[in-house]
Amino acid sequence: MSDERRPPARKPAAPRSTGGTRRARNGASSRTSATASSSTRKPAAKQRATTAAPARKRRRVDAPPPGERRYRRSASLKLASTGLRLRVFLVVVALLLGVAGVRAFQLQALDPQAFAAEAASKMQTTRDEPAIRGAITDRNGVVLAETEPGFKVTVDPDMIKTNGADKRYPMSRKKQEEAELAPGAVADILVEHLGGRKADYLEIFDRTNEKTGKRSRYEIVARQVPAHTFTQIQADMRAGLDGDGKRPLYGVFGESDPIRVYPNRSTGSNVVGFVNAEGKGASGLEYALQEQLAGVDGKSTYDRSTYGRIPLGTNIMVPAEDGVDYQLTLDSDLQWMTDQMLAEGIRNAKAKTGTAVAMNVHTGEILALSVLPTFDSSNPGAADPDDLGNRAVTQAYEPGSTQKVLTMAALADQGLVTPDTRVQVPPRIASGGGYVSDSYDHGTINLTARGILANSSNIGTIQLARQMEKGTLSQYLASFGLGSKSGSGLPGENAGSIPGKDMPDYTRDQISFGQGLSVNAVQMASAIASVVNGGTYHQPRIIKSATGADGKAVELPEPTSREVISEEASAMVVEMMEAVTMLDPDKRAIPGYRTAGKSGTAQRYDPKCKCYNGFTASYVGVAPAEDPQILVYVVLDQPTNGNLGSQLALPVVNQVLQIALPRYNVLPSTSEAPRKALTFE
Amino acid sequence: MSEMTNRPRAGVSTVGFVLIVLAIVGLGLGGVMVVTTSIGAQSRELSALRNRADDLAYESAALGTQLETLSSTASLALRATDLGMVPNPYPAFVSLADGKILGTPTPVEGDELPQLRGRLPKVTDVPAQQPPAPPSESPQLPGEAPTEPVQNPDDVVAADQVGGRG
Repeated sequence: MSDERRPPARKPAAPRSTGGTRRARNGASSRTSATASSSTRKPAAKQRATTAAPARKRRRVDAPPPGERRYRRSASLKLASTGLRLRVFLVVVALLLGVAGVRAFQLQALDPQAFAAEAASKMQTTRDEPAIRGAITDRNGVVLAETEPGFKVTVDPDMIKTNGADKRYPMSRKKQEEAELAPGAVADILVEHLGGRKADYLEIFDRTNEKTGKRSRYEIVARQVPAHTFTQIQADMRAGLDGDGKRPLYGVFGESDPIRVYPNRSTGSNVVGFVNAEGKGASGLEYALQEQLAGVDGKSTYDRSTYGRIPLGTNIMVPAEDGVDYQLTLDSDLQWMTDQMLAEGIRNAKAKTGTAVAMNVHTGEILALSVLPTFDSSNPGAADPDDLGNRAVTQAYEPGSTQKVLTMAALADQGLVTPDTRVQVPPRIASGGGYVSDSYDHGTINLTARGILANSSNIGTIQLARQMEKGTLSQYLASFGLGSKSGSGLPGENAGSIPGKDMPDYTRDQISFGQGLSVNAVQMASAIASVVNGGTYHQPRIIKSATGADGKAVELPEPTSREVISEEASAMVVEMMEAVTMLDPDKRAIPGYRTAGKSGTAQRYDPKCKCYNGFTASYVGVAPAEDPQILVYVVLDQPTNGNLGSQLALPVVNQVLQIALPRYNVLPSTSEAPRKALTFE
Repeated sequence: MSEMTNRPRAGVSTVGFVLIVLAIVGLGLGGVMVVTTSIGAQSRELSALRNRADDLAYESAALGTQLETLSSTASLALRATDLGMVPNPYPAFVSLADGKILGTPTPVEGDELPQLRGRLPKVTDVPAQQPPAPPSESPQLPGEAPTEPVQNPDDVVAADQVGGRG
């Protein structure tokens, strides 16, 4: 039946048609009336109702006749309006996505760096890569100062007492046994590698933290332990109680603490200086060159987790820039020998302190710089604080008669004096308000200039010096390097003082023989070197070269040189100085070489009493006299066993020359020292 | 009903296709695992080698320091003295060009420069781990003050009796 218009829930037509068929027996048009549209039914039903027995009850058309099966009407689902449901759902989803989107925007667009940084910081660690401090070596590469890797050994007493047990769980019996044995075993290891007593270490392990009252978690055991020793300690700890690694020991840690090593100890220590506890230079070249020696620390940033470094994570490293290595002009062997000989000289003179300078006259390089008493750079605390500096540059004194060399040089260069210039020397000379006399009594004597220098006559020198302008003399002294810092590279230099050109006459008289002006030992040595080497002043130097961490040479400031006197004048002065040696060759000459020198015995100014108190005995020697190569200048401060420079300082100078000359391949003299006239008729 | 579209024939069956994809994915994941594991293992090896290199560098530094201390001048002087060597201050050279002898070779008596012969160190100088310390350089200086009479000039340029000794 294709009756689509009929609602589907309704009964099919068949039962009705049964009824209809029955009714159709009654009439011929019943079928057609049953299949007709409902619009025609009513009239038909009405018709039928009226034609059928009128007494029958009116019955619903679609109700089945009695006895027939009845079908309940199926439950009808209320179809909610889909539109509404969909809309609600859409709104909810839109809300959720909207919140997510806003959050995403907030996290990624507004301040992404902060969040990324926060995440990274949980994973990243940054570690300093310390720079290795530059080394200081002597002219032959012998190491004077070097850094060795080292560790500060610390312990965690709590960890040792429990042998590293995990605090979260109770200790098993085996672990408890280990914990009993651990402190003793760790103390044994520390005693073996660090020295000390076992009882002291056990006492450290018993320490408690004052604030919390519990066992201490951090105690320092030893500083500046060589790294190799520390790795041996670590290996022993890992080997543990039985030595086979099955029961390792825990609780000893190390922090980097590099050690500055001075293998030559007190040789050259006044020049090299020392470092303080933090490893920063505190005196000498360690202090003066601190910045260059220290270098620049690097940094390394990497990701790490509990299990260690993450292999492919961030790995940024800024390498450390190691310090600059310096090579000094010092010769550590000659330095040591000079130290010994100067020490002997100080002992013999019963002097307070002494200084010796050995210099190459043609280059100004300082070959040895002895300052005694001295100290051990690796243990500066044991020395007298006065000895920790470098008196050779910091202490200014009146040079005494060695100054006559410079006076004669100035006069010779001016053409006023030659070694044979004749001077009639009175027994005393008026100067200022008083008189100046010589160190030995004499009447009026006839001395050549050579003789004046050989006999170290103050009066004769004054007479000759008076021939020159005061300003000229002052100028010469300044050009010899006196009165200003020599810039050798040594820190803390005392410039000394020379009078200006408006000095009073008696000052000029005084400075001509070495009183009334102050110099330091290096200055004086360079000044005399400039006189004997042919007349060129070379700035004294202590640093020979510098090498950066990359192996390339570092530029150093060029040392200055200048002409101060003519070559002829220089030769004349050396001739006069040789006369000093020839005055008493048995005592003053050295085997194999012709030497020239000048002694000095000056009165020493004492600032405490503002008076002259004690002497400064000095001697300067150059060799070989025919072509000076090496100069040695020794100053003894406040000798009490006599005071003559020629007696006390001369032996030291000669000994140093005897060692230094062959060492630097200076050939022995082939000519005899001349004996020229010191007096005239 | 009528066929609307022509279904193409598949090369493999559905099951086969799924298996192939799974195999490719599996291989990829397996490869990633192998690479990552090997990176991890190599990273561990690298750390171990780095540590070993550090340890060897420390040992080398410690030996270097020991060597330098032993080759310091003072230490050598002590050893030379132990061997019976003495310093020789008499210069003599052999000219390599012509074999001439320059200077006067002089045999030494053994007492020429006694202060250069290494002396035994004082007990207080010797630290625990180092070889015998070199001799102390500080001379035994007397503590007494100079006995010179105090001179009077008030200032440096005092005029009378300045007689500085020559």
